[in-house]
Amino acid sequence: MIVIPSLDLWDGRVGFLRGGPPEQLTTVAEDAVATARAWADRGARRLQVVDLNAALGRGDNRELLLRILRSVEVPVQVGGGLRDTDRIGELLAAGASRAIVSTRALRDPPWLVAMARRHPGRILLGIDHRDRRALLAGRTESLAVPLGEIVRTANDLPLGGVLFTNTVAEGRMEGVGDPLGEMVARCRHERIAAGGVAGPEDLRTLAAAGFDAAVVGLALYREGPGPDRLREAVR
Amino acid sequence: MKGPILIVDTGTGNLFSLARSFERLGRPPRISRDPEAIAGAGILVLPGVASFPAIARGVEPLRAELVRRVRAGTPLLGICAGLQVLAGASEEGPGQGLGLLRGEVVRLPGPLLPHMGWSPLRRTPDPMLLGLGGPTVDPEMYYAHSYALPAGTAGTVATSFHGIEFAAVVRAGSVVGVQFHPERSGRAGAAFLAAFLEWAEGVAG
Repeated sequence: MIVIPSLDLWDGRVGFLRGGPPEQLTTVAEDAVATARAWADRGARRLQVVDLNAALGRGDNRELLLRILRSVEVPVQVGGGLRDTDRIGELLAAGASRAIVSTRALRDPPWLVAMARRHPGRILLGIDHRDRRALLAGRTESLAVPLGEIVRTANDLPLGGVLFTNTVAEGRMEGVGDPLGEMVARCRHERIAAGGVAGPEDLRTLAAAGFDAAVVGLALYREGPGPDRLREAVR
Repeated sequence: MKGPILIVDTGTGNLFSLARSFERLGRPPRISRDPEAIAGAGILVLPGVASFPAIARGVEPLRAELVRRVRAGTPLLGICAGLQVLAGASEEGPGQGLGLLRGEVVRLPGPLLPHMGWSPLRRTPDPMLLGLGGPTVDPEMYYAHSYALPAGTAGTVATSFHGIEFAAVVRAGSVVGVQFHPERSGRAGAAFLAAFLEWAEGVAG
């Protein structure tokens, strides 16, 4: 199981949402560039950086994101409000290894097809889910299409992977919740889980459910035996 | 050493990460596409995040000077498409490479293309690669490509595997080419760049 340290950016700082509105944001670090560098120096094989401001339509952290991409010597997958064709091209040209698309990709499947074909292997489909439904637009809407059907559609595209974010579990460090079972098994791309990982037992749960990699956020910045073991797994 | 490290800008991609990697080794590079700067460089680095036709177009105005410097013994490191363009041609499309390495760039077998991710480096006992990994541990390097030189390419000192075995590190005289991205390969990538610089400074005198 690959552990992908994640940094969510909010107002220039590193913080994590607790499943809902930004009022429930936990700030964990002031200097995002130094934080990203620290994970790379520890031996992380890959990082994830999400611009929460952009995702929620409350400004963005464009410059900071570019500075991180220039400063880090490991692949970085980026996301957060990516709905614009040119912006995705810019980020990939600026050094992002992969771009995470979600809201527009789910609302506008032909656009997802076009993005995947234009950047084969470099688009990650991000599915924020709750009760086995995909959430859109900063979790303010949910999609009527069943998750299984989204996974089937994704299987036919040259994607770099599918990122399943459990919005019920995220930011709580209380375990990964519903690991989606057969839905994940049907996905033929790299399967990445996010949300709720608090210790090594969560990594085992996700591996058993068929996930290849886990994005870990808040827990990596906390103290305790679980976080200690997760930090050891970053290499 | 005679001159600065020069990252040759072929207009095919972002050079910040690579420049930053050299800075972190205490050797800030210059970046230029000026033939005069190439002529004055102590060590040349030719990166490329591009198709073969695109980078072949990018090196065209610099071809004469690059080949002249390499023939005169200036160390040159080609990275990814910058390795591929050291060969003469590619299955990817039209364009003339620099012809400094033998062989033709081939497409990796599908369906999982591009090859984007970490793969182990299978090394011969080449001095430049000895310090990476360990005696029983292969270093993992980060790749992002769909084409590569075949593993049988003359001068191949390390290979990796994605559908087929392909050349990961090729050496010929003062030329070194790597298919992986040292600037995205974390500690192992930094260790490789340090080993390259140590060798290059010895060569450049």
